Amino acid sequence: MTRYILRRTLWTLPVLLVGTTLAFLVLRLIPGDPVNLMLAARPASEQMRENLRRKLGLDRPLLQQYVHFVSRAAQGDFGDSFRTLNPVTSQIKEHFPATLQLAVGGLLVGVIGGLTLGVTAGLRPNSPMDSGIMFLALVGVSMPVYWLSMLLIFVFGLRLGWVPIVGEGWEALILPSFAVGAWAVGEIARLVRSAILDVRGEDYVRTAYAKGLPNSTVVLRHALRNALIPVVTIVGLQLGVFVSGGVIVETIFARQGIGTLLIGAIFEKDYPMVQAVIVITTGAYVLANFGVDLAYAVLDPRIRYA
Amino acid sequence: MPMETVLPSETVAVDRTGFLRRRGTIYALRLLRKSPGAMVSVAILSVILFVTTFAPLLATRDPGKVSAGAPVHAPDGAFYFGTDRLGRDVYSRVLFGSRLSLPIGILAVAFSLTVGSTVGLATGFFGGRVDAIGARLIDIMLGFPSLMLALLIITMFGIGIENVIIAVGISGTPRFARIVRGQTLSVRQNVYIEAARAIGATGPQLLRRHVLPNVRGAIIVLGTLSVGGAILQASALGFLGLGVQPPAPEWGTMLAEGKDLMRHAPWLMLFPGMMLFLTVISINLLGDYLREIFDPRLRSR
Repeated sequence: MTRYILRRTLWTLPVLLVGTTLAFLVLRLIPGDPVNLMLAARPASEQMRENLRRKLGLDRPLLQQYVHFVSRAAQGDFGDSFRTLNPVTSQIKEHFPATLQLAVGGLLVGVIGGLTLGVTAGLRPNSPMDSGIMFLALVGVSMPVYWLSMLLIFVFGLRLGWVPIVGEGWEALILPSFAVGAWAVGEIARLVRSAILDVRGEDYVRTAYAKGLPNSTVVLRHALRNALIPVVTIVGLQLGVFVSGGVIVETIFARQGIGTLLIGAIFEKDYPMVQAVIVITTGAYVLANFGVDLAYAVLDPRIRYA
Repeated sequence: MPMETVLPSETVAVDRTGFLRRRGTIYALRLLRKSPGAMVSVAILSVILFVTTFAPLLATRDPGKVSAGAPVHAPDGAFYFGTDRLGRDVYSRVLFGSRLSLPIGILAVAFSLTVGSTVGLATGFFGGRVDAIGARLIDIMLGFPSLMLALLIITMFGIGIENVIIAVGISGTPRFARIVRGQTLSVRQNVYIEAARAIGATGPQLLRRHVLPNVRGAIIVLGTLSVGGAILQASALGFLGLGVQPPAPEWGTMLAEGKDLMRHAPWLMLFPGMMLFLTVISINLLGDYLREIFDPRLRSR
């Protein structure tokens, strides 16, 4: 197990490095001089431009700039925002909780909803219940997340007035969590259903029934446990969908999260902010995937020794 | 899935591409008739394609014409889907929107498919060092959330239709590479490859005559399933204001315009979203159906 963890840890490094490199290239590949972009709002003399260029390290060779950028990034320093002139990292810290709450909410909705629907459908294949659930799952994976968000706001927020749309409390998290999680509900329900159908024919399930265990025990202890393995994989692979969905949902629900920050920064050409958000979200994503892989190795001993 | 009844279990292991080719189009259509989900999807897609082709004839007004009616006017007999803030006809705009979303989605997938499949075929077929490097690169690319990748590309190249296609296309590429690589690796193991090699077939011949026909099914299925996702992603960029720009009647852009007026004019977000949803759900249904036909074993992926 230790060897597996070690190998897996080493594997996260190239992804992080490529992420950092891409983020570095953003500022170098954009058309125009970053210094002009930074000073666009203010009148600036040639001397000011020169000082700023030196301060940003833009006068040095590209390779040196790159090494500098990576080593500072490793220490969590991404420079100052072009707009607010404050360190970007401190702004990201402020916005992080909102994003994390939404990701956790979406994950909970996706996993709980997906498992319940998938098991219900998988136990009665080809029943009307099964067809209904599978149709719902198809709707879930085909729904544009921004449209779903708007429909939820319109129906439950504006018309029925059941839940607040914006605010600090956990109630304001309900609708966005459903919007982010809907896709996962559909994807997980389909997977769990087919996984349950697969394991239903296995010897150990037949044995469990043969020794007189009640249906619920067989399903929960024997069938579902084995069906969970592909679910964990897909959750890991699809964490990116939570990130992407989160970015869009945040902007609709006006949540002050990383997504709102990123979209704003892209519009305002606040490149240090864009760079920092890309590196940090990639890092968080890689870390989450790492956690998923560990869970996977715990669930299925075959993985560790492969 | 209702499609399961279509195929007798003994044909499961048969190479589906060849199977369908031998039995012909009529057989494919007969299979289709037995699957209600696929029929519904083909019906909806036909309507959408019809609408896309004949949008100028079906539209009641010029989609770009400002003050065609009173601003923010509810749907009625003259304006089927109402009018937007500038008094433009939402019905005509939604119709013309399909002329943006569909080609963008298809072109983006064509990009991912061409580049991804080539990389997948090359790494899977040649193996060795090419595969070692290729597989790592694919994994690293898959390590990025795809919207992040698309946003990054938009940041670098700027906003515009071509850049939307490139951004969505690049972010979809690693999935093709991974699946095609996996399929190629397994096809390469077959005895007929060895046999062809033994009678003197060269690398390119092997690839074209023996490997490609056998991975084609997987490429077609993934290609179809990806179009829905690509349309969603492209219109997500439009929605965020980083894709197709107003005043173009792109569905995502229209949804963004409708967002602020949702309370008073829900039709502004209802109809573009509905078209987007119907298009994507019918493409996904068709993809699911093709997946059953070509390879039932792909189902759980």
